[in-house]
This record gives sequence, C-alpha cells and structure tokens, in this order.
Amino acid sequence: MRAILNPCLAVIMADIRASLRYPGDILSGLSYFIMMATLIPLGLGADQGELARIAPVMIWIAVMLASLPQMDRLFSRIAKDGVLEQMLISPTPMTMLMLAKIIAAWLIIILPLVLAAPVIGIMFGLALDRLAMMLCFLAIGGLCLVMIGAMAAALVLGSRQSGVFTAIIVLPLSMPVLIFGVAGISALQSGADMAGHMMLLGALTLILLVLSPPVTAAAIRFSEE
Amino acid sequence: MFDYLANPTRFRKISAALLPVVVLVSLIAFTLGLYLAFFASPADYQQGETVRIMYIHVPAAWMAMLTYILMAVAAVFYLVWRHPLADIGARAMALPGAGFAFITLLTGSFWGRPMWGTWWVWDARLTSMLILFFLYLGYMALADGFERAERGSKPACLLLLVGVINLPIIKFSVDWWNTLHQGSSVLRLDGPSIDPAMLKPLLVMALAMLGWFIAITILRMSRLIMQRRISNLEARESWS
Repeated sequence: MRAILNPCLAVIMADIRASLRYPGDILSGLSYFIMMATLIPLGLGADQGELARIAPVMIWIAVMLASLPQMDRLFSRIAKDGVLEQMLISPTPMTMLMLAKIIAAWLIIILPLVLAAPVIGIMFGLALDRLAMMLCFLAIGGLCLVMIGAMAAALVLGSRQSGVFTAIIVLPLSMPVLIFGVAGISALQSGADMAGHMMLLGALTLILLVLSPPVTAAAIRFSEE
Repeated sequence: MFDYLANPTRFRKISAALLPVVVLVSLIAFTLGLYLAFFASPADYQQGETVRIMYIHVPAAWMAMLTYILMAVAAVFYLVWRHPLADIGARAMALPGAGFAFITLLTGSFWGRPMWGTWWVWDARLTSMLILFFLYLGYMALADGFERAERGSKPACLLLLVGVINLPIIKFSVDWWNTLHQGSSVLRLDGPSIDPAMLKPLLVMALAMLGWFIAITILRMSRLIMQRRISNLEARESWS
C-alpha cells in the first residue's frame, strides 16, 4: 500500500511545486475565466434577471474553456524531460500514477477556478446563500472535466497540433457534465430539489474514475512506444 | 476466420470478388427502394408527402449508429490482437459514418422545416446525432493527427472505445435534458408500430445504404492498404 501511495503523493507534490514556481500560469487562467464572463453582459445587456438565468451555463462553460488550455499541457512537460518514461519503468502501476496526476491537475487547474467562481456569481446576480452547494457542484463536475481532459491530453501526446485536438475530443465527452452541472446549479437557484442532479454527477464521476486512469495510462504507453 | 481475413493480400482478393456483388445489390435496392419510397408508398395522414424524407433519414441514422459500433469493434480487434487490417477498417469506415450522421442531420432539417416550422430544434435525438457527428470528427482528427500515419492508430482506437462507453451516458443525459422527437416506430419490443406499406421501402433503403457502405468501405480499405504499402516502400528506399 505504502509502496504505491508514496510515489503518488510525490507526483502530486511535484506537480504542485512546479505550478507554484510559475504562479503567473494560474493567474492567467483565472483572468481568462473572469474575462470570458465579462464579455457576456457586454453582448447580452445588463438586465439582471436575464443574466442570473444564464449564469449557471456561463460559469460552467467558462470553467470548461478556461481549463482546456491547461489540461492540454498536462503531460507535455514531463514527456519532454523524461519523467514520463521514468513513470513507465517504475514499479508503481501507471494507472495509480495517472490518478495522482489527475488529483494534482484538479488541485492546480480546477480549484482556483472554483474559488474564483463566486466572483462571477456576484457579477451575474446569483443568490449567494447557497454558495457552498454551488461550489460542490463545480468541484465534482470539475473532477469529471479533469479526468476527461487527462484522457484527451494523453491521447494527443506527440500529435502535430495538440491544442485543437484536445478540444475536439474533450468537448463532446463533457456534455453530460455540462447538462447535469447546469441543471444542478439552476435547481439550486430556484430552490428546487437538486439531490438528483448531484447524484447523477456523482455517478458520472465514479464511472470516469474507473475509466480515465487506465485509459490515460494506456494512451501514454502508446506515445512512448 | 478473422485470422484468415487478416492477411491484407487475401483480404484484397476476397474483397475484390465481393465488391461487384455488393455494388449490384446496393444498386438494385436503391432503385427499388427509391421507387417504393417516392411512388409506391402512401403519404402519411398527418405528415403528407414529407414522410418520404424518412426513407432516407431513418436508414442513414441507423447506419450512422451502426458504423460507430462497427468501428469500436474494429478498435477492440486492433488493440487486443494488433491486426493492422482492423485499424485500416476503422479508418475506412469513419468518413462514411460521419457522412451518414451528416445526411441524417441534413434530411432531418429539411423535414423539420415544414413539419415543426423550423430548421433545427434543440431536441434530444437531434443533439445526440450532432454529438455523434462530433465524435466522428474527433476520431478522424486524432487518427490523422500525427506525423507518421500509423502512430495515430492506437490513440484513435482507444478514443473509439471511450466514445462507445460514453455514448449511452451522453444519450441518457441528452434525453433527460429535452425531448420532442417522436419515439422509434420500428425497433420496439411489441413489434413495429409503423404501417407495413411504409416499413417495406424503409427496409429496402436500409439494405441499399448498407450495401453502399460496404462497397465504400472496401474501396477505402484497399486504398489505405496501397497507401501503406507505398509509404513502406518509400521508407525502405530511403534506408538503402
């Protein structure tokens, strides 16, 4: 158990340290996130009711698009400096290491966006008394997005132009996340029951938890052959 | 049998013999099916003459779904048994599959304009087909996305498997989100609810499209085999 856990923790810590070395990357992701949300009222008009209605969709799409470019680079650095090869020949199962990469990516990419989401919520006139639940939705849905993104990033590793490919692969697969995530936050806003949406999102997370690490590991193995 | 067919030379021999048969069957079925669909079948009591769009629309939708499943089966064969022919098969099927999805969306749009009063509605079955079309695009982009053509094969096949696992989830979530489209009237547990006079042209058209699909797939597969052979020869040339 310890033999698997320690390398995984090391991977997570290394990723966090590497991202803290360039805090600008996290900041630019956050700025992109908030700027996207700023564009909508400029185009749609400043009607508060209208904005509050589209706010859940807006937040979700902003999270999806802001996380995409960072997800795309998930493996490019460690593919270049040889860490990926070391992971493959290490005795720790690649699937577990990929799970660690996913957890690290969630902490680095999704968590800042989730923490910034209330700002957008206020800008769009969302009722903030149920804020904690909204953040839960974003956190769980964000985990789904990261797991889909990790698969896509591993699949496109070494391709001619990875940026667009990742988007083409990630976006159709993330549609269920968008649907249940938006429905959940909308239900939360209108005071309807949102337990069902949360459970569906949770079920999706569990399915991806089984699917994503082995697929990611297999795709990486293909890229290193 | 798969081992037997997996030899590219043998495959080319067999497929070359099969091709004229499939083309002939498809041509006959198209002629008969189009005649039945446009002249010898009744107009619908509600939809009037526009029901005839269905004879293209529904078989194309079936083929779009069938093709994706066939590609996923080919992907399993490629990833597990490493038959290069399975990869070539999946690649060959992708474009016709995307074409079927596109025809489904296009004819559905033509039908939706007079019937629903709009070219497009955000309905579950329409949206699912659109997402299926996107999945085809993703596969094609990934399969051809690498410097060396064969390098894209394994990631693309893996993507097909992920897609086929996700397809029911996407379908469910989209269904749950919104549905306006009429339910299926052919594939039902209690037998088809569609009138036999309409079912016949529908099935004939489905046969025609299946034949056309097989013919196109065989042609595309032979072309891909030749392409690989040429690039292998070129690689050998540059070595010596």
